[in-house]
Amino acid sequence: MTHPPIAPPAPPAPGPSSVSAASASTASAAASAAPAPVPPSEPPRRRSWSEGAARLRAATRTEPGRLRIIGVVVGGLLVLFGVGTSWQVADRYQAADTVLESSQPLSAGAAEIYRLLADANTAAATGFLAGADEDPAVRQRYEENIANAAGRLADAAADSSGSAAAQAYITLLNEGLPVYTGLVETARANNRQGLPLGGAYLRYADEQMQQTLLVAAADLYELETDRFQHDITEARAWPWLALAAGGLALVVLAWAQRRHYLRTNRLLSPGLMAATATATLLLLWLGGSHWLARAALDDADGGAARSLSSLNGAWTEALRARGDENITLVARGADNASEESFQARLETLIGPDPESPGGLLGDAAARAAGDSDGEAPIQRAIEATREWAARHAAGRERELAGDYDGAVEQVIGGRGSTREMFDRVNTSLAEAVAHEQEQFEAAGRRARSRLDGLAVGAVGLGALGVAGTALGIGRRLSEYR
Amino acid sequence: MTTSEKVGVEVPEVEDRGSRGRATALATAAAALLLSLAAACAAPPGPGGPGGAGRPVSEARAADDAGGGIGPLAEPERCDGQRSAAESLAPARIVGDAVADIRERGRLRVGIDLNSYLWGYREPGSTDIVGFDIDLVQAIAEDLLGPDPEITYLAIPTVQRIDAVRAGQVDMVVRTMSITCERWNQVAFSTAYFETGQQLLVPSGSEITGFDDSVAGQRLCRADGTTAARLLDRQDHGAEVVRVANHLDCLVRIQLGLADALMTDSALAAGHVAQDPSMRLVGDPLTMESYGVAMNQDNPDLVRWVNAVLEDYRAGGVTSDWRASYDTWLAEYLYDQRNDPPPLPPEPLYRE
Repeated sequence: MTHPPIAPPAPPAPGPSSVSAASASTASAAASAAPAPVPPSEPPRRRSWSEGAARLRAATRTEPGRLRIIGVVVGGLLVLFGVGTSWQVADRYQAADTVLESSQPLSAGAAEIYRLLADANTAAATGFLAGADEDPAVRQRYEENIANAAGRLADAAADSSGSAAAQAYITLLNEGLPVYTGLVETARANNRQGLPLGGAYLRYADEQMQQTLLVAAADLYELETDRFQHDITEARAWPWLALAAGGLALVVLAWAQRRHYLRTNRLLSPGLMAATATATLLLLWLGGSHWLARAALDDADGGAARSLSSLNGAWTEALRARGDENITLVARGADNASEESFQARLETLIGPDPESPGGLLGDAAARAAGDSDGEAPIQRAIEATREWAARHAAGRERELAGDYDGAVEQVIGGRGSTREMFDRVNTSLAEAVAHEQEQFEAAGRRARSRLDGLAVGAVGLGALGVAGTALGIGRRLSEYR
Repeated sequence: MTTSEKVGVEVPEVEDRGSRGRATALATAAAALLLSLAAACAAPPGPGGPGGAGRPVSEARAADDAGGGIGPLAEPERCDGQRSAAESLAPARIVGDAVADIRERGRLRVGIDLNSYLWGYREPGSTDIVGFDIDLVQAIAEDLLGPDPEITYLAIPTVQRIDAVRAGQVDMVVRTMSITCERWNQVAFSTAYFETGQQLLVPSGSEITGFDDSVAGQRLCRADGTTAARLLDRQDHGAEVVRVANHLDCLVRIQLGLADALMTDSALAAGHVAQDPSMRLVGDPLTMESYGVAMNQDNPDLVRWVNAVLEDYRAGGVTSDWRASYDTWLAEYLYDQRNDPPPLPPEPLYRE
């Protein structure tokens, strides 16, 4: 049905194509073509569009045409609903999966790198204080920490190869680690000769650790944690497009059925009923499972992840407090900054008031309240930290009374030393973190499993709905043949 | 000469000086120039210095400051009324309140350093604290308390030396502490037990020849709150100043290639050389300082007693206890046997 625009006199319409709509169709086509000599450069798309519109207008004037349009709209909405649901749910499933399998483990890995480094630094200072009498276990702890940190860094480098920022931190850590261990060995060598220079080297190593390595590790942890928070937010986001398409499909289906009833006095169109049922089912499935997945993600994010974050914070504070305690003795009265830093860190851990628990551990305990498995290790850590503070004060008293050896014994010795309490804090927090990590993973898996099958089911249900619609509309159409 | 001229011209810009010094700085800028001309020809200054006895004290100080205390201009600090900073109370063994307290306690509490090699540090392979300062503490304690005295050694940070004495936390501080007029306002000092001066310490192969234009563009390390820090604030000869907390941290920086030279007094530098034989002192001393035992101003009996102990400690010249301790700890690193005269203990100065 082409009308060459250059044809000067209006040619007769090329035969009646349809019975009733023909005159209207040609009239409108002539009306649109006649007013002006349309230049030949006019893109033909425009013409076919206006023609399509004209045909649509023509179609709305007949019942079969209207039925076809209703069928197309309902079918389109159902396709959109099904495919949209499948796509958006797959997205959220993927996000939840990334949280579980990649971004949260990366965050936990970064936290572990931080801990390993801080613990290595503490072990270096402890070994230094013992000098030639260094406990082989302390030396081993230092070496294992360094080796594990290097291994974790290699893992992190492989797993976060997509992130330039993460790679930059990892490179910084990879470069700084051998420098640090070199300083520690120089400190050891000088110390074994009894040269005070060894202490200066260890203080410098400690400075490098605190100001370069631990800062980079903390930045890496923050980066990975931000990323996993972002993934959780993505997984939690409501699939609005799918929900809207589903809602709209149901509304149009309801309207179509009411229209069907009013026109035919037949109560039911089985095809449309089936389409309505499948759309309703899918909408309930989508809404319900996403709601449940969100709840599980809230457990993971608001509960376990927050607890993990404050526990990780508490753990690193404890490790750094231990480092400060050791460095104070390494400094042998050269400065008081480490002692002040130690006191500040203990306060960050348990708050200023020795009676009522506050600080990071107090927060973590309050968060874990009701979960006895989670709360017990935190309570143990709080008690051990209090005892640590008391024993530290006793050791400090010895140091200030000139009993340096007694002070060293009080800090790195066996029973009754602050080391004993630090070890208890360390193991308690390790247990608490492991518990929360499990909680997190369980909640994450729960969230993910609640979306199981939905992506595929949505396509299936959407297809069923389309089939039902086609059946219902087709049956009505056949009545016009 | 060019250095002196340049320094003389720069005097008006000099900061970090007492207001009195600032007021006279301009007036003495020309004098400083003349002075340095004279000093260049003069023998090392004795008491009275190159400026002559008639020169006002503050003026002499200003001239020293203007010259950055370089070379022959270095002379002992003088406090108000021409008194040398190293002057202390006359020696006497009279039991007053402070001495009685110590005896009653049966224990001497001393503030020391555990990080100054050869002066006060822990002996390798044992837990004993040893060094030149510690020998003196032993002598004082034995004199006060008899043989095998009980001593509490308290390692205190440099910045807390004065507070520890004033608060009565320790009876005395024997910790490579220079006697200065400013510190005399807060604590009492014994007579001098060691003389030293600020100097540059460089690794072997360094092209630095002294605190002069050869340090321009070099990284010069010094510890916070020290005489070296004050000197470098006034005049740095174009050096890039590296600031650290402790003078030993400077040696770490040099070994790691993060600094080219360090400034400290030659006594502490001996400890550095002992720990790293590749280090050497260059240039002339920039200051003349004396170490003294710091005590509470309320304990004149203890000050006199310590001065009496020091009299005995120094007595005998080359056979003195002082010399024995010197030979044990410092001679190897501070004394060039081929060129230097045998070291003798410093002459005590008394106020009365």
